[in-house]
Amino acid sequence: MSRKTLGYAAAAAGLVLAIAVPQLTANQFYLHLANLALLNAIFAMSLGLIAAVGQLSLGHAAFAAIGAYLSALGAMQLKIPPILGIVLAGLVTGLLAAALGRVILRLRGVYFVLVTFLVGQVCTLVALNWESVTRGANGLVGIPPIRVFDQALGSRAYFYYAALTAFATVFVFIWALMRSQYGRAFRSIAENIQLAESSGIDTSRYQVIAFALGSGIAGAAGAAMAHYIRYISPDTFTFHDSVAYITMLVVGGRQTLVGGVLGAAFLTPLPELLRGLEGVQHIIYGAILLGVLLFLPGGLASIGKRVLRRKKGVETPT
Amino acid sequence: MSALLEVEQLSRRFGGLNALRNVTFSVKAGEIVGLIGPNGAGKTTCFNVVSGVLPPSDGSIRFKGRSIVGMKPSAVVAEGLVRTFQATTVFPAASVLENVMRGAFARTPVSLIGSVFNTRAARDVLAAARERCEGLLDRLALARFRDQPAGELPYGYQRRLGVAIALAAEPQLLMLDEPVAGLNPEESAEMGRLIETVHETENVTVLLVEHHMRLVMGICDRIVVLDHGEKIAEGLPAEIRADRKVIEAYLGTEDVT
Repeated sequence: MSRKTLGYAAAAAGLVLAIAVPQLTANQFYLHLANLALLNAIFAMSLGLIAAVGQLSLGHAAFAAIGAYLSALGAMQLKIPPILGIVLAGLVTGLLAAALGRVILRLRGVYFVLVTFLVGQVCTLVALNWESVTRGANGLVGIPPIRVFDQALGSRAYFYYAALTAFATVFVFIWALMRSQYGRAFRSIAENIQLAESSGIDTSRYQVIAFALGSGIAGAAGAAMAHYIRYISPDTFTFHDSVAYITMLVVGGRQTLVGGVLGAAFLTPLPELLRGLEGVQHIIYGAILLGVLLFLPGGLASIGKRVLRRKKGVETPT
Repeated sequence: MSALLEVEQLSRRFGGLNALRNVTFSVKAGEIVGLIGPNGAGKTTCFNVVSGVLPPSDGSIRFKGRSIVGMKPSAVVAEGLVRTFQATTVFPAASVLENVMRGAFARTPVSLIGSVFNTRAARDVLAAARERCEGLLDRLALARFRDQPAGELPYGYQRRLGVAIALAAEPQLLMLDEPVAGLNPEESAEMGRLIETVHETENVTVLLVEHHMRLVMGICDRIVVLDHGEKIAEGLPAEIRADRKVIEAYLGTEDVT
């Protein structure tokens, strides 16, 4: 009971702090980083939803790209308002993922990872070569910004609030989902798929649901990104981004929802801090990932729990 | 009286190998039936085909008079036919209670949207399911492990928990795949008593695959014997013990040199 109250209190404190961020700093660059961190947190959390059924997608950025192109093209050519476009992009991306998932989710483990890697590569190639629609390597320039009540959210501070709202919505949605019978089904599948099926859980159906929801959320977040940076090319969402989301999830802690958020908050500004160390950035990235895997398998999210346990001097079941 | 499970002319081929060939048998409501045979006789294949894990190559499987061929294992569970596994019996990281709650998934009639919004109705259904599962843990003498991760239980209790997970789905027919494999003699005897007990208290019909002859002879009403994918005998334990073909299948014929 006290743990629950603690959780709510932490969430409330985090929210108040998050709302105050634009008041604390006028530095546009910090605000930009905060915006990217919020979007990255959505990517990492949605990837965590797929990981919850025990599957690892190496094509997460591809679904972000699909959503981004859909919403950008919709806004530029059909004059669809970006807010509506973002929602539609999420829905269409989710449906595409559901159709694809029905086929590829028969695979598990490394085979699924390989196929999602290929899906990502194919998407990048399509974006590069379907020039009549995607303008190839030049990308789409001048994507309209998000408008709320006829007010363009062009400034970083305004976009920050939109991104924060989206982040909070996704966070609460996934939290409620994982607490429900869906979450129970997902965890059962991840832990023992054979036993899950013979416990009456339709494992193929629930895997498709997790994959479609996770990929759909990534599609919507990709669309939001497109309307924020107002430019998208085949280089915006690549294999490297898919790996970055996985890194965020693992570094933050893939067992908990907060893990993806912590990972995104920690790793998004890191390249900027390491800017002076041109060339060794990736080595440091790799070292952090290795260090976490070796010494902190539960990720950053498990630090608090560890400290608590040490204080109490007893093993608390996790 | 019509049978609960009717397996007719069931065949399953793997390439050129006939793992099952025209096997016919039935299980009546209230029985404990044993499925035995030497290694490689096709017992586990038979289990996998009947529970929907593998599709049959030929033949029919009827449960409560309805064909269940082509159904997913999860759909077969919803019909009331639940199986256990030899090796992977529990969800190791989840608590014992959570294991049983997962087993009860098909019998937790909560709308999934309702459970996302955690509506009053959903909370009530889940509370009822939890109460039912705690009762089951009580009856199976697992209540004291309630909050422990299942993977930390002694092996014998993990097997017992496997039975509890299956029972949580409220089966009419419980199929046990080698329930005493890897257990020591005392644990085996205890598992035998458990099977007889749940047969009574949970009102289930039991079909079990087993190597352990004393257990099978001791608790089964009827025994079906497979060898090389074919049924070679069926009858009461005493009849099976005296059956020439069965003895030959297990011990070999005298004229083989």
